[in-house]
Amino acid sequence: MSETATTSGPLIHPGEWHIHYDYAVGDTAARFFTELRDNMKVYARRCPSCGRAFVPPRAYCERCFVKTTDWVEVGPEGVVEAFTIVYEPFDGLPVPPYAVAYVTLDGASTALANFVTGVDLSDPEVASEALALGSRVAVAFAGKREGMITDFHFELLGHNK
Amino acid sequence: MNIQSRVAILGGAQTVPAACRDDVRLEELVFEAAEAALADAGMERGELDTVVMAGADQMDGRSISSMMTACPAGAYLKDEIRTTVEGSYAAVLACMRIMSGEFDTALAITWAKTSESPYDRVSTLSYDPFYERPVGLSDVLDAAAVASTFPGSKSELADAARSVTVKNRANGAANPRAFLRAPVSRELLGDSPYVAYPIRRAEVPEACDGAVAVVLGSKRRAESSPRQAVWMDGIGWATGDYGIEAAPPARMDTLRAAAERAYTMAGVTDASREVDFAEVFDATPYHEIFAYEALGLVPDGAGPAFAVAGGSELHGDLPVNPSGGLQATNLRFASGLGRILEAYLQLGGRAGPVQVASPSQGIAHGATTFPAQSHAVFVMRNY
Repeated sequence: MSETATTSGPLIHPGEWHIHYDYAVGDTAARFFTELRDNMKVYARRCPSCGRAFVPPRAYCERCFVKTTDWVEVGPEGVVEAFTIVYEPFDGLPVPPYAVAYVTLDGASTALANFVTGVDLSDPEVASEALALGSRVAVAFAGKREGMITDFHFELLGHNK
Repeated sequence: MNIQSRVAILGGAQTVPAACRDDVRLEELVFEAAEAALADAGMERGELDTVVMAGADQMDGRSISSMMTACPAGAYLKDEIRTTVEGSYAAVLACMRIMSGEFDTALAITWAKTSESPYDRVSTLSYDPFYERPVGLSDVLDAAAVASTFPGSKSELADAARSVTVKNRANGAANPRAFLRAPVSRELLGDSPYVAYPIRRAEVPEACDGAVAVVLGSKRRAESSPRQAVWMDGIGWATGDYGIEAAPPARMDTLRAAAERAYTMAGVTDASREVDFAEVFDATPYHEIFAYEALGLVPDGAGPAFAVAGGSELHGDLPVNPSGGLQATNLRFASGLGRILEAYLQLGGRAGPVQVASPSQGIAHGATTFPAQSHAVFVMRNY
């Protein structure tokens, strides 16, 4: 292979995809994001068949395969279902360390991912104990809200067992 | 109707894995694997009835990338189809097409050339743009979150994860087809910094470029094959909820559902006793431990202890990833077909230095990258 090479290295042609998308949020999620932005409330959508309350809200239940109907307010507290603490930098993300958790808000049937604050992340083992599954967190809203999932984050509650 | 009851693998090949194959274009890499797989099966391209590809546009950097890869995969003027699910699904679809009775032979092929793009960034494109991308979810973050949900003692689980990585890297060091050929020590793993807790940098295998292809045929075709046929007697696959919104352990329910279907089809009643080895999805060592339990290789809750006790080592009671798995050869997206190829080589007695003693029945398992929403399980036999 190298015998036939005539240049000092492989010839590389750079390519990039900078393509703008306008993702339609849809009426159901739009209501959810609007409630976050304007009223600082988290709403779930309930399946009339199995009764599960979906956050993020879904217009349908994929298991029962029916349209969801009612809105129910959930939270503002909830429980950690899964978490990670990021120690390596990733393109476009906060400077590490930072924590991300999947939280089932009180009254909800599904978990929602967001950043978690209020934890000293300097020691991974200690921090992982603080964020252990079952830990309680509360929704904390940003001062300036834009109708995005980052309008809020989770804050670890101090009285965890 | 002419439904075919049995499908066999007649040959297969993987390109030599390398960190960066910048000496070839993607379609040239695909051609390398297809040509080698046909040669291994002792067949000409003209004998192929259909070509089944698995590829993902965002990883290939081309839209509808199969337009470029179909013909180098052998499909010129032939039937071809692509799935954008992980590599093992090319085998799922190829088996179904042969079982339909419409096709006698198929080439299943998949590839990974992720050296050409920033993979962590690319992986975020698979996530929901409304709820997940703004929070930075990517394959490795999601894998870490899934790992955090495993029940039991965290220190025991971390210890078991180390056992898995040490084992798989040792197997990889012995396997001439593996990418990472250097073993790692428990000490090195313990000192490795966290990428995303509880996953350490050294537990996320460096990725490589490569392509994998297997040639499949009907029972009739297998009877005239120059090589020993390996039968795909059980095939099961399942897809779970999108994302992690359902409690994360549900991911393993998806693997359980896939395994149950494969076992039912093959008549396996107790995998822990009937299976001689398994090649499983181990993008992180935690995924392999999950798989021990979800595949029924050990009882629920016994996965970490099984890893620590050495039961899954090359000469253990039930070797898992004798090839070194993804921990040694991380062909992102293509790894499931890699597991099938390694299981095929084992059952043909061609696995070389990592050969398991006289296996007759093995399992191959593929899953969609780290988050593992979809799983495919194959029961493979050489009798």
